Amino acid sequence: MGIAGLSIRQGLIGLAALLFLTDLYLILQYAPTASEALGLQVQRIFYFHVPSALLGMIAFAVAALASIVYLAKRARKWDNIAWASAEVGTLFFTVAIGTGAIWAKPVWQTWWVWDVNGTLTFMLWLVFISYLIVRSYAPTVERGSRWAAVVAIFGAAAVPFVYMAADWWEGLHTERITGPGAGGSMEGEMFLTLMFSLVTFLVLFIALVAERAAQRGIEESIEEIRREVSA
Amino acid sequence: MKISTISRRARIAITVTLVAILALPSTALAATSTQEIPGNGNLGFLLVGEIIVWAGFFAYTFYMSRKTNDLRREIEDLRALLKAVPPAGN
Repeated sequence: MGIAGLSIRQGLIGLAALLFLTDLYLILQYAPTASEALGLQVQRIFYFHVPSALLGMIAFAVAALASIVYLAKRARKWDNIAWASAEVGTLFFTVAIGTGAIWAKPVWQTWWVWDVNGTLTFMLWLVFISYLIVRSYAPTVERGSRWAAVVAIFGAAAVPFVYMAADWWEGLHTERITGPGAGGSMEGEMFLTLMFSLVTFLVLFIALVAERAAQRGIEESIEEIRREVSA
Repeated sequence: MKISTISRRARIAITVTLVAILALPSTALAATSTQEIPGNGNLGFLLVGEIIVWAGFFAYTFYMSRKTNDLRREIEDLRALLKAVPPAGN
């Protein structure tokens, strides 16, 4: 337990909520309106789209790393982290895909473009949807964990390609403006707002993964006690 | 008793946060002045985007809180079950 009876996880969720409110203020008031080519007001979606896409990819990488450790050590803790990270990552990626489509409609006059970037993003999303399906339909928890670990490792291998797709292949997607070797640039206020959004989404991601992984741990303990009681 | 106090506090915090989240965009959007940009500059799309983001995170938080409630119920069931089982050695 932390301060005033709140656990660290609850504190993180509270912090994420506060950061989100500040972030909304920055996005809607502080950041300047973009040029007509970028969609004017709708460009503000970008401050949700980029962090959720980036955190989605990080989540899948975390799921793959935790899965590798789980396969090596067979400790349930790592499987719980992988599961939580993949689940939260799928949520973030869904938000990224949804906001991207909404921005694309008024700017590109279409909801979706099947260029390399769009197709790879959609495939990565499908892989992690399959990860969750594999877990749900596996005959035993153990087998589900093993099969899902393989899916996570396979899926995460596509992450660098999705991240670099806008640079490596021609398409409608705008240039990357964050990360090593990024070609794009932004005005100071826009960049500051984006950085704040990234921190906000990072805190939210950590809070949700920690909460969900802890929940999985409790679920497993209950299942174990049930087995002992019924034996 | 402690759990219910925390959950009531959490419920109040969530309600206040949600009201603020819903109120802030409307005031901020009003302040960005629709007269500055002809045709509102795609404000409708921005609002739909915002709703998708919040609906997504709200739905997931709701799903997690339901899971937590299920877990609490299961713990209560187990406690009742353990009370009913006679201690080992008797």
